[in-house]
Parts: sequence; structure tokens; C-alpha cells
Amino acid sequence: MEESGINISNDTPDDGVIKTRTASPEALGKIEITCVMDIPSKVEYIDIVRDRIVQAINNVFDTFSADIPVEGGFVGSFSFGYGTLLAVDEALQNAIIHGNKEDPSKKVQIIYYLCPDYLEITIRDEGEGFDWRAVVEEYNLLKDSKDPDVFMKFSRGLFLILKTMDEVTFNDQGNEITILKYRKQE
Amino acid sequence: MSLDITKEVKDGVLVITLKGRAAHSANQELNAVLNDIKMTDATGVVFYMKELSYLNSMAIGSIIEAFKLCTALGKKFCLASLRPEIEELFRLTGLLSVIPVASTLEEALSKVSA
Repeated sequence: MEESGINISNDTPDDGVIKTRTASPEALGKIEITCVMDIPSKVEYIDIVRDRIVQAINNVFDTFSADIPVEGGFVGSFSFGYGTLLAVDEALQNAIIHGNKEDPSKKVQIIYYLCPDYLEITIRDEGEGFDWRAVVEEYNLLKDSKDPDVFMKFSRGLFLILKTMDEVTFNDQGNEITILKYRKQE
Repeated sequence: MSLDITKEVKDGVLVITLKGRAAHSANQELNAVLNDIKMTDATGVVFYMKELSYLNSMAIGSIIEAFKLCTALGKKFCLASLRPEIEELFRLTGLLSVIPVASTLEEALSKVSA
């Protein structure tokens, strides 16, 4: 279905539950992509959805390495390429496993906006949320520490998201995270 | 791409080779490695990671558990041949200051078999 260059489709990789709403890069002169995905809270979707987002990122960012090759060089800086892959992975895990407690009747919504200058991804679950203010406060106190105990005792996924992204924001309830990464020229 | 784990004993050292990507789908396989470490008579354990292209916080957690288990069992432990982005990830976490790392498998074997 086409409406003003926006393609709405039901994408069915296995059981037909991923729904996407995408602005096609062709319609927008290959400059930006907006996508909304709703997925059930099943852990097997983590890797699928992460790779799908990375594939979309690749359509916009030439230097992004989607599937970091086992043989051959690493494309892009650590913090953009690997860091983005990692942050999306960790945020999905938090939403599906900790937020929705793997209840498949609860949805996780992923909204991403990609343009040549930056990417912004919002991941929202239907859980109770968490006290992100306390976690961020603790992170800011400990982030420069070289003590590995900090990582081992902290929420490891969130620690890596905060370490690798340029901006991380939460909604008040703490069941929605938005990560933003600027594309810095090498 | 998923994770491929192979295990062999070289010079009395358990060498666990990780290839591919250690993401959520590899979690159980990685945790099973802990049992191998418990069962082995080897006095040292090396994680050979030359062809490991990705790992997330869960996989890092499994490696931390393996390191702690080896320490508790009196076995020497070393990571070998980390790709630059993986090494950078370990540096971000501060783990490089506690977990021994070698640039080649040979170097790791000599470190843990001493």
C-alpha cells in the first residue's frame, strides 16, 4: 500500500507478527528511513530484529558494517558500527526479557529514524518500567572507573548502551528508551 | 551467522575456539562451556577468539563466569587473538585489567601452561 511514498506492509519472516511501516529510501531520495515495528516478546526475535535494523542502517550509511565480517576489515569506527549493533541488541534484550518478562502477549515497539547525519531508535515495552534516574546517576558517578567490578555489578546491557551512544533518554515510567548516535566523519 | 564453538586439549590446556557471533541465540551453548571447564582435567583454559566477530553483554557475562570459575578451580585462564573491536569492547568494560589477554594462541598457551 502506497501513500505519499510511505509503504505500509505486513512483513512476515516466520509467523507474520512483525509489522512495519516504512518510508522507502527511493521515495525520499535515499536520505532517510522511518520505520515502526511491533514484535511479540519472544527472545528468538532479538537477533532477527537487530539484524533487520542494521540492514536498514546500511541502506543509509555506506560505511556501516552490517554483518561485521569474520574475515576482512572492520568498516567504520567502533562506536558507530559495533556500538550501534550492540546498543540495539542490548535495548531489545532489556525490553523483551526484563521489561515484558518474555510474555508473548506483550508487544515491543521499535521506532527508528535514519538519516545521513544520525540515527535515532526508540524501543518501548509494556512492562512496569524501571528507576532509570538512579541507574543513570550511578553510571555518571562510575563511568570513568577502570574497575571491572563496576561493569560486573551494573546492569551490563545498559552500561554498554550508555558507553557507546551519544544520547540516551527514557520516558518517565522507564519502559521506553531512545538512543541516538551521530555519524561522525572518520 | 551464529556461534560455532569447538573444544580441544592442547598441551594440557583446554582451548575453546569461538567463531562467528555470540548473540542471544548462543547463550545456552556458551553457558554449557562452563560445564566443560568444570569437567576438564586441564590446568589451563584459553578462549581463542580470532574469528569471533561479535559478542554482547550476555556473552561477556559468560566469559566473566568462565574466568571466575577457573580462578576458583585453580586453573589459569587467558583470552587469545581478540579482534580490535572486541578488544575495544573489553577495554570499555574495564575487564582488560583483570582478565589475561594474549595476541596469539601460542602466546596464550605458553601463559597458561607455565
